[in-house]
Amino acid sequence: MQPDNQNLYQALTTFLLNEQQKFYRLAYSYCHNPETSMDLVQSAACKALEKYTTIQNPDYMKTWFYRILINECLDYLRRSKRETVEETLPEEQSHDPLSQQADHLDLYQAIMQLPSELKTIVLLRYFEDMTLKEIAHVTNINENTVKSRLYASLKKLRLSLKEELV
Amino acid sequence: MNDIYTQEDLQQTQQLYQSIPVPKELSARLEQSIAQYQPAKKKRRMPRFLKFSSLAAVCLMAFLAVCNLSPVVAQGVSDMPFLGTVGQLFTAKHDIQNDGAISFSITHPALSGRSALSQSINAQISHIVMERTMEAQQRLDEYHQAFLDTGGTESEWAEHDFQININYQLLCRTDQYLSFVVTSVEDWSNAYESCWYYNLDLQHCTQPTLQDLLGEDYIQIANTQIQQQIADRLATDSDAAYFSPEEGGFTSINEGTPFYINKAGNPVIVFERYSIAPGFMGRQEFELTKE
Repeated sequence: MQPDNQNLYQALTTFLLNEQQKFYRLAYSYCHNPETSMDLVQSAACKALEKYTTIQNPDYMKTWFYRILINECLDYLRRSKRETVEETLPEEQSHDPLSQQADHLDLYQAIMQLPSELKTIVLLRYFEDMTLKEIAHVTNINENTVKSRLYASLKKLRLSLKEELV
Repeated sequence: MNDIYTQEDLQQTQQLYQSIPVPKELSARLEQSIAQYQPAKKKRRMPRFLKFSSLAAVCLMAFLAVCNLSPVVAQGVSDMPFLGTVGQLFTAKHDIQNDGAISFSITHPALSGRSALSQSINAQISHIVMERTMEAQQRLDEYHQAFLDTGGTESEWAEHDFQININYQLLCRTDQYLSFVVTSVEDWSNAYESCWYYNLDLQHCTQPTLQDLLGEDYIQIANTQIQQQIADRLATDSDAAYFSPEEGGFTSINEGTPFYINKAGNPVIVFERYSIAPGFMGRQEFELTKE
């Protein structure tokens, strides 16, 4: 193993182990199944471990891996032909009697029901705290398209919330 | 931007997202994947210093070629003491390499001189060094996998310090004979200790056999003397113990039994630890004399 590759390998394994919970939640947002989420994260990790030497710039490791992970998730959705899935939330939340909580649940569910290409952008922007530039890297679309999709998502979410609130 | 739901709503939604429970198995599964990809690379990999030994071999070949092609160089070489014949034992290479949990320490002996015998022995030693190193690496890779499969983690593995030592020892050097042993020890298990003995007749440029040293009846001579010495040791030391022939103890030597030659010019038969006696007895040596 070349010294550079060795460093890259170290960086990748550390990144995978440290950020695994984030990967899982992201995968879970697409498939809503614990077992499948673990499969998707593991499968993305294997692909990354296989191909990590192709990373040109180690600074892009994060966006590079997220791209692999999201592709895994989208492939899974295509295979299972379920573009939108009924959300099942952790028990304690779904039985929370607070109406305040229920409102957030609505917003959450609205996000989960967005079409995949919009959902990805909302998840990366608001739950993974990525910049538009990073999202452009992950999704392989240009920054302006990311921006317009994000606006479209927000608009859609507002509409869907209105409908829910009526 | 959001006049219907506020920034606060979004923050609470984010908290909801953060509360999605992550199964504990995920971590183990990722570590498993990481381990799966790492050893696959290791297994095919040749330890770094072995690549250099190929280079050293090429240099040696070039030197030998020059000796063979140039009468002037060859003359110069044969004028040096021992170099023209079998030559001297020297440390060709000393490598220490630390590869995470494993440290290699390889002291690679070689014989100087350009005789066919020197070259043949050097080739044998190089082969032993390479083979033992690769085998040790493979055994450790297998152990590594088993360690991970049974619940160990990469970080726990990294805390190990396995040592693989290949070394040699000059046993005897007289005007006539040169004896040395090459040893390979893996310290994580004594079972993986191996020795190779080399004996050279410097005057005749040969590798003397027990038959050369003891005569036609060498097997009979050796067996009688070894049995006598075992009996003597049992008689003088009440703690001494040897396996009986039924237990796998000593029955007879053969032409391949390892030995070295001592200063008196006598062959010394060597039985490795556990081979004819319990482990506490250590290595057993028997000096034989021509009757």
